[in-house]
Amino acid sequence: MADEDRVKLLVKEVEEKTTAGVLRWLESADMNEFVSVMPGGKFTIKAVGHTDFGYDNEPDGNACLLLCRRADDLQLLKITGSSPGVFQGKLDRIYLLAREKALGIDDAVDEIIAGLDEI
Amino acid sequence: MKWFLENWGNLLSAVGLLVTLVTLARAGKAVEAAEAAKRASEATKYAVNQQGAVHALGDMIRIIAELSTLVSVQSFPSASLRSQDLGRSLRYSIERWDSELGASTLDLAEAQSQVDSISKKLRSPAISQKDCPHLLGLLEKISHVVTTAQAIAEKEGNNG
Repeated sequence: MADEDRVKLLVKEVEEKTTAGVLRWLESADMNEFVSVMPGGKFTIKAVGHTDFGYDNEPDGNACLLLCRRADDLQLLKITGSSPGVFQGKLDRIYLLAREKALGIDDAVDEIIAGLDEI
Repeated sequence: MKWFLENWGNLLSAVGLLVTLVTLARAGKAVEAAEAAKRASEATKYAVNQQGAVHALGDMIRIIAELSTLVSVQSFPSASLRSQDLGRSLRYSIERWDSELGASTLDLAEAQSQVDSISKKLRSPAISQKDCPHLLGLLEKISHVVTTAQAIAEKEGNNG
């Protein structure tokens, strides 16, 4: 079990780097899961989001972060709103940002606005 | 004759010096030749590795095409097996040709994570026809990443 301070710092860093747009998020086969390969390539972080059935088909309903080993996709740590020192709102915000970045929602909106301007 | 008898020692020293200089010159050439051979050997090794990486990436492009077909016809168990092959190939290539793939390594690592998610999805009993368009879109993106990495490796090989 990772200690509270480490987990809090990890969540804070992921949130900051995602907000700054320096962490690249990608789509996965699950529409409610987005993945980012960490610098160095050894680990991935997955942002798993709001659905009726969450990760592994377990009822979930809240966003969480999964820290995995990239080589074999082994899940090392699951960070949820009930993890000590972690606020659910922060995880939800990271998930939504990750989704926005992975799907290129800003670009899509810009393209639509540009298209509408031409009408 | 008298001069020779008086200076034979100096003469021998001069001959000795000459022999030393010739030997050193030959040794220098041998070192140069050895260095050139080493450089050539390294260049050959790099070219062979580069070629290996290009072939491996080519194989992956074929697997992705096959996998896309299997997903299109909803042959999920077979697609699951091929996706695992693809994941293994990506994993191996990233480890084996890390230096040859250079900047493409991170892109391929990201592609591998996406392939792992596809494998997991294809193994899930909940997989259905409605998942196919999303999986096919993802495979197209992965194919683009692998094709780009192959083109870069090929170009590097030709330059090297």
